[in-house]
Amino acid sequence: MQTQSDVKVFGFWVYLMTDLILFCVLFATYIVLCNNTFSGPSARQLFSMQEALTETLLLLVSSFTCSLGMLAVYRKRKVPALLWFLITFCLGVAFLVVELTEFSHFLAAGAGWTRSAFLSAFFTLVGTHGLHISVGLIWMLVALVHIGLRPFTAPSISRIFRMALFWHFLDLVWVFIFTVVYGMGHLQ
Amino acid sequence: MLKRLFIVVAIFIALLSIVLLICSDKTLLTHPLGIIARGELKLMTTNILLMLIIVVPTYIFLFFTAWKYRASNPSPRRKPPFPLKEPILWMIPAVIVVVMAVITYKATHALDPYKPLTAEAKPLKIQVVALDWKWLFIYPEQGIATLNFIQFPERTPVHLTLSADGSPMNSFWLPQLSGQIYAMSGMVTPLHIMADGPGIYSGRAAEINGAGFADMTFVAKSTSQEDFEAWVAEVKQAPLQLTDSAYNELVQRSQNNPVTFYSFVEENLFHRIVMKYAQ
Amino acid sequence: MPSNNFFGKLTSDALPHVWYTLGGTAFMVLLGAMVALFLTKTNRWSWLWKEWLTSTDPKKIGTMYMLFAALMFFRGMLDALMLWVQQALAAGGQGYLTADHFQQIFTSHGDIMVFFVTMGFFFGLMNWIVPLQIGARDLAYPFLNSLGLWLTVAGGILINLFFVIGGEFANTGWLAITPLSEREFNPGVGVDYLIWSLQLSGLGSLLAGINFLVTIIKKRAPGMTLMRMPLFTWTSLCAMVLIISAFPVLTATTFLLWLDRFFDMHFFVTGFGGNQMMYFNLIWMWGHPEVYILVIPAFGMFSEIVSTFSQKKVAGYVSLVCAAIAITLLSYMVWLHHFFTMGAGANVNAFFGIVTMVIAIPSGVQVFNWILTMYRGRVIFASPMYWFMGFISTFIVGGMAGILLATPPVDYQVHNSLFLVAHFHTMIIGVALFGIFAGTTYWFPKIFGFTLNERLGKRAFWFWLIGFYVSFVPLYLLGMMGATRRLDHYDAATGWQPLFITSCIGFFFIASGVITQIIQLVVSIKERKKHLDKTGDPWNARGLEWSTSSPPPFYNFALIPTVTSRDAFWQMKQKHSSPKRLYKDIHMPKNTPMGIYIAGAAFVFGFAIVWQILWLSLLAALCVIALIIKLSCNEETEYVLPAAKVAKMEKLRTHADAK
Repeated sequence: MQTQSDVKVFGFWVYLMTDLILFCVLFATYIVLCNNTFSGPSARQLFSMQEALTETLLLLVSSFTCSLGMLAVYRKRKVPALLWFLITFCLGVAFLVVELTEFSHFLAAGAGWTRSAFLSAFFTLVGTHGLHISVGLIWMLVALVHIGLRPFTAPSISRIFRMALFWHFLDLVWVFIFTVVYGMGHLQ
Repeated sequence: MLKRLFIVVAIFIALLSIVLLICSDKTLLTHPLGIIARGELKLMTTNILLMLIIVVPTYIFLFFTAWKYRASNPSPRRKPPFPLKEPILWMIPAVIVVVMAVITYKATHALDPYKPLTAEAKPLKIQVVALDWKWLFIYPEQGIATLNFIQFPERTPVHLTLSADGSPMNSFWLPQLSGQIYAMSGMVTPLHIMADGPGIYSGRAAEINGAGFADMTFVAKSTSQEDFEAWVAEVKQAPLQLTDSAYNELVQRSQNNPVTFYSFVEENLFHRIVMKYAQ
Repeated sequence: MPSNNFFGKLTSDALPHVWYTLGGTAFMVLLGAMVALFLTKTNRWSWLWKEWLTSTDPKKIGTMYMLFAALMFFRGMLDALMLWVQQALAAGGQGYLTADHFQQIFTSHGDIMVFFVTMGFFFGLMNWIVPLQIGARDLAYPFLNSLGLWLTVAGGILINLFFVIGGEFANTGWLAITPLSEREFNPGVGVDYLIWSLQLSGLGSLLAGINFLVTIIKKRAPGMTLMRMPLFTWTSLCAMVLIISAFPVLTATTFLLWLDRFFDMHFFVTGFGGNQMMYFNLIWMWGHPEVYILVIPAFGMFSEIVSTFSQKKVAGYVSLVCAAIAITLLSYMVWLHHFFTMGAGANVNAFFGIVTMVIAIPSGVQVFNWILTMYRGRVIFASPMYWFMGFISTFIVGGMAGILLATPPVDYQVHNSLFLVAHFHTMIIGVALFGIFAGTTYWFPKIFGFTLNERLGKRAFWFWLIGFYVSFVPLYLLGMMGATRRLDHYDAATGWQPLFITSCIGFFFIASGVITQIIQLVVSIKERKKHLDKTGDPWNARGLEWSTSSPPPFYNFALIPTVTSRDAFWQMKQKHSSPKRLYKDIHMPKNTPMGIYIAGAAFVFGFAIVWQILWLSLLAALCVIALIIKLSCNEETEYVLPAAKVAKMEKLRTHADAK
């Protein structure tokens, strides 16, 4: 017999698939437009593999700490759960800081989203991912508050699990961004 | 009784009108005057006939079944239905679709806008620019240009290359000679047409592009080779010239532009129009 | 870049000052005032809030969807009338509408009929019938159901808001094709209204899609395997699969268009490396599945109707399921047939054309199976069967036209002509709308407890059928005469005017049909005591929904049935099974105002972003986030109906039925 929590998790997977399709559209758009630099800066000229690698590492580690937090939640241990999710949160914020710094460098160099179709596509794809990360961070904060103030029940554990799923999903999308955007851009 | 008679007569009149309309020469698609349009009509009728092979029996089966097995009819046999193998049901439309698919594949290649036409006469090149809300035609080899009007010799392949400027997506449609092709800024699309004989044809824009859409029509005329050359010579005497500045004025939005002839076109104008949007 | 003013682009110019914006505003204000007056006089404001607006009961949500769709239908029909009259008059002249106004009307006509009328009616019927058919009490996510409804309503209000504020709607056609919808050609707010009303209702549809998908997969009664599900549930499932995979594409694509307009980006503009063709590919990647979303549920409805009224189980259940799945899968592979004329080359065009033709195979199989269901049956021609006969004969016509359009060289001629317009209206009216009418008539007694007047229903059918053919056969002919779609005027020399006038006459038949349906509703309500459905099974049908009373109790089933075969209720009737009445506690979802609050904040966001009132859009967005966070804090979403109470209610209900 399916519990309501199982049903909610299943539905959340379905939602994640729809979000993936949304990202697919942005990826497809990026791939079609990535060479349309309109005599402006190209991927090769702009992207720093160092920054991209840093961002990747930050997210990968944050996925790991997120899993550790989830394990603690299953064991119903508040303090480790709070600790690991707090670290995940900080790593996520660090990711956003690196990303926003990268964006501001581009803007200062005249490579904003209005310069060419390639840059519009870049900012939209990476920016949408960043927006999702921000939503994930807000969700994580709320989860931290709930973990701190309320007891663990089956529905609350399921809710935190869905948040973790969302976070891992965003990490997966980032791996694709790293490959398609930064990796292929570097190889141009 | 009278009601039934009225219904039968009404349906008969409706069907008759439809047939008459299809045959009337205002129905441009059934009166093709060019080789491509003829091919397209032939394909349409072939596919309709193929579909009717299944559709007519289906309609008969539908109305027969509904009438015979209506609950108020006590007489027909009502034994449990014999088991009809479901795969057979799938085969019936599949066979017709396969036949249509083969025909369609061949015809799509034969009637491809990209495919050049061959005839005894040497092909004529015309460049087409869709503007808001008029059509500019450039004859690169003759060095002339026209607005909302083209003329070409009969039984001569006409190779059109199309683009647009200052106008959103457009569609060029000359139904009696061929189907449409889109004309888009920054891009070049081809269309090959050939008229069977002399005639006057109407064309229009077929993709919505703003307030002047309905007025974006043009006239095409096919004549003998001599008449065509005489016309070119006449246009070469026209007072107006399509210099760059004249062109820049032309790009501005206007509707209902009258037919205009230009005796001179700036060098490589079409190429520069297309490249305007490139990186 | 966005405007810097405190009120964004909003100025007093935006208030209504032309005849149609004044008229539209006056009408909406009058309607709202009448409703408000009625509610005040009958003291029903808190009843409205408690019983309806905050309800999570899919039956109530379903009714609200259908009411909303009916309201939007009148707006869509009014648009259609204006278009018809203009085209009938405008031979050689201007008609009574400017070109720009005419273009706005057909744009809103398309968006309203597709997003709000057809999808609204289908979500309404699905909300009512799908849980009953699968033996469930509710959808998987009751709150999300409410949110989906209110987001759709928010979108519907936004699409009508231009009458009151703004005065212009998009003039680009219902899909806002680029680059016409870019700021270069359309700097006003019209396209933004289109984008954001679609975003809001699109999100509502996506949430409903996820909801129904999970419900059908996870919430079926024990014993109901997938191959024992009723065909309406099967086709709903297929439509939901299409929704969840296609609507994210719509969201993303219209979002990119908005980014072009708002942030000066260059996705689909001419120049700066933009690619206007990309928009066509993306929007039709959504658009084609969307049109199948509109027709596939109708197929399921008709399968059930023909089976019930032929008093026979449906012929070829497995084939019909396979056909629905095949059509669903194929609908992902054909999007390019909407722009064969863009110059993709012979091989690409041939591929997409042939795959489109392949859809005719499962469609044909369905038609055969429906006829075979009647064959050797005992067919009762009640009004749903009239709609069925109208549907099947019209579907074949539309299908033939579709095959012609699918043949690239033929499409090169008829693309964007009135032939195309006739084809898709044949499908939307002949399949989707006839399906909605048939389904509503069929399930009306279940929903409201009494049957509709048959005589008026049949008369309405004839008006609609004759009206449809008189309206749309001329359009097929006009396409063959070289008439492009969306023309606000034309030369008298083309010879088109008599056909436009004939088509306009057809509208008046259709309008008579609609009026007859309204009269039918009024008369049926007046006569309802004479036509009460006392057994819950007025048609002697086969699905589980008919095993409940009409209307069902708010918990649908006191005891979730166990299913042992297809046509579950039919089997129960044959076996005369009477289950042991061992009632259990029932968990029901509570009402919640959060759906309407979140949708309200989303509406304000949509309005603010259209007018570029940045502080208001930020505030509204923060509100949405805050409300969602509040929602997550709420643990008490259900209440328990104790077994003893269930037993009491069941006793009362069955005694009332027996009287």
